[in-house]
Amino acid sequence: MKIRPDILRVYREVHSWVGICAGLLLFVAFFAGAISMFERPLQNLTTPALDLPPPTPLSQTPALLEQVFKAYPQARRSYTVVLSPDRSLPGRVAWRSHPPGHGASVLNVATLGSDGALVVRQPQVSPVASFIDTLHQKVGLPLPPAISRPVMGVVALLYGLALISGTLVFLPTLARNLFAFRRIDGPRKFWLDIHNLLGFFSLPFHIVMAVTSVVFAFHDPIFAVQSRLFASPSARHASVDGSMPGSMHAGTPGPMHEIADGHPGPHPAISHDESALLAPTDLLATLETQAPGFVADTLFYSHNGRGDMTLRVTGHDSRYSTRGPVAGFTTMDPRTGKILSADYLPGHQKTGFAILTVFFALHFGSFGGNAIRWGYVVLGFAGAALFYTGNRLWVDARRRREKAAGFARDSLATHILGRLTPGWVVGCVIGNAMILAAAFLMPDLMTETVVSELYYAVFVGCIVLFMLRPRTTRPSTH
Amino acid sequence: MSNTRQTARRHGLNNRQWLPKVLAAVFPGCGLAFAIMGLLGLLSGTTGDPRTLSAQALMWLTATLWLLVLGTCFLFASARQAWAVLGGGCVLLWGFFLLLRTILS
Repeated sequence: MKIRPDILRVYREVHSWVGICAGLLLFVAFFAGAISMFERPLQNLTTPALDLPPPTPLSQTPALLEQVFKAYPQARRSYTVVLSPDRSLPGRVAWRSHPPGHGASVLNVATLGSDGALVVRQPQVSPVASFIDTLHQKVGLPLPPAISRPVMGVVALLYGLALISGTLVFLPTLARNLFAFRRIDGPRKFWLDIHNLLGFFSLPFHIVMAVTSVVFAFHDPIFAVQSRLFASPSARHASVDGSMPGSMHAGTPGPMHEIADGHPGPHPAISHDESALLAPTDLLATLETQAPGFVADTLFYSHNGRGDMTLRVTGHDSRYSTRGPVAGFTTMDPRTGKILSADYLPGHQKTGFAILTVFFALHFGSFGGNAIRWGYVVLGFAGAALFYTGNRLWVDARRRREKAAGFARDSLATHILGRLTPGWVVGCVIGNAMILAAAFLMPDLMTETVVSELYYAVFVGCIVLFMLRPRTTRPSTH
Repeated sequence: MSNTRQTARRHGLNNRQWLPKVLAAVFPGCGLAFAIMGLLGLLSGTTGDPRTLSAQALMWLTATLWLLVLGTCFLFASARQAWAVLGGGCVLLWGFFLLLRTILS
């Protein structure tokens, strides 16, 4: 394929500058993202087992709920019936309570003891797995959410730009260089061949990641513009306090999103009797007839503020891809068990929604089960390696140019980048390894603050160590 | 400016004006993507409610369009051309949008 040489030159420059600006941030995003493919299993492995009787049989859930509501009336506002309890979400019923003051909400789980008495615990879920997921979403920077989101968006745009330019630059030599692996031509060709090989063969993966990350970063502002442009004034007002946040549709619901944080506030007028709700066993039976093959994981009940109860059922179906990282969901009428919306119900989506779900599933690897998840781990690490080789190529190219210009030593910028790249990469890898090891060895000490401080201490420490290594004279380059 | 365009023609493209070209892609380019979203939204009769398929599809389209504009803005012969095409297109399409909205309402 022929491309005009001036266009190639322009895009080669764009590729190297965009790459050097975003490469290290993308390294962390991909490395942490690869680990996050198994976020929930990691969370279960690192969370200590709770001193709790086995979950009440599902058929006895109404009796359990009755006791919960008697002892904790505020739980009525929103609660979750847990269908597949694990260490991250044990017990049979879970809800969030808001301690007086401005503290964070507390997760409560409940089950019945062997004597039929209510047992309630506050599980201490290990924060390590979700820290790594957050690290992934924040491209490794400890920024508050309001800033990290647009920063991530800019990095995603740079990433998309690097993909477009990189593909263009590689296309003319594709046939000649694709399987080239020139070890003897010196380190530059070696790294270049690895970079091209990784880049080309994971290109579809990278295109999906670039587009979805741009969407994850900017969907809220885009929806805000849409609401200004298209909605009638009354509808716009309604969407402001709408019952479903926009992030539910486009964003990345975390593993705990099924226990949504109900707003602390005055109790809504509860006009309906809970006994009018269908018992979980009956509800699952109606679900099974309406959506056979769908395995429900949680039933999330909440008041919609108008005195009505809403029910969202999350779950998965091994035959279909899911909207979230591990689950799709459906809304049901909690009294009749009728499915109200199948927009995100795996296997029952209309074509349009099913197509959009594919984009999410391709980002999360939430299709095809564990084999695909492991594949995504490999692709994620390969992506991280792609960005490392890119940075190395940049440093080597500048060294060569400076040497040709007659400098005895690297310029300051080349020197700093030559040190920052390995320091950053090693810091990220060891930092993640350390917090995971600490999560296994000292689960009781792990709080969000400890995890964050430990990671960033290791990360910054590694960078400083690499920076402080004595500056040697130019190594002989090939 | 016409000088740069002549140089571009003689020596081919270069990145000397990369910053204004990128700024053209970021600002009027974004406006252009939104204008296309607006026009398609009016034609499809979307309500803009994030729960609907049309709003979500338009959101994906807008993000993708913006990314494509960013990726191709370096092909403009000069920064002036980039601003003229993207800025002009942005104004023109928003004009169409307002016109269409008046006609449809």
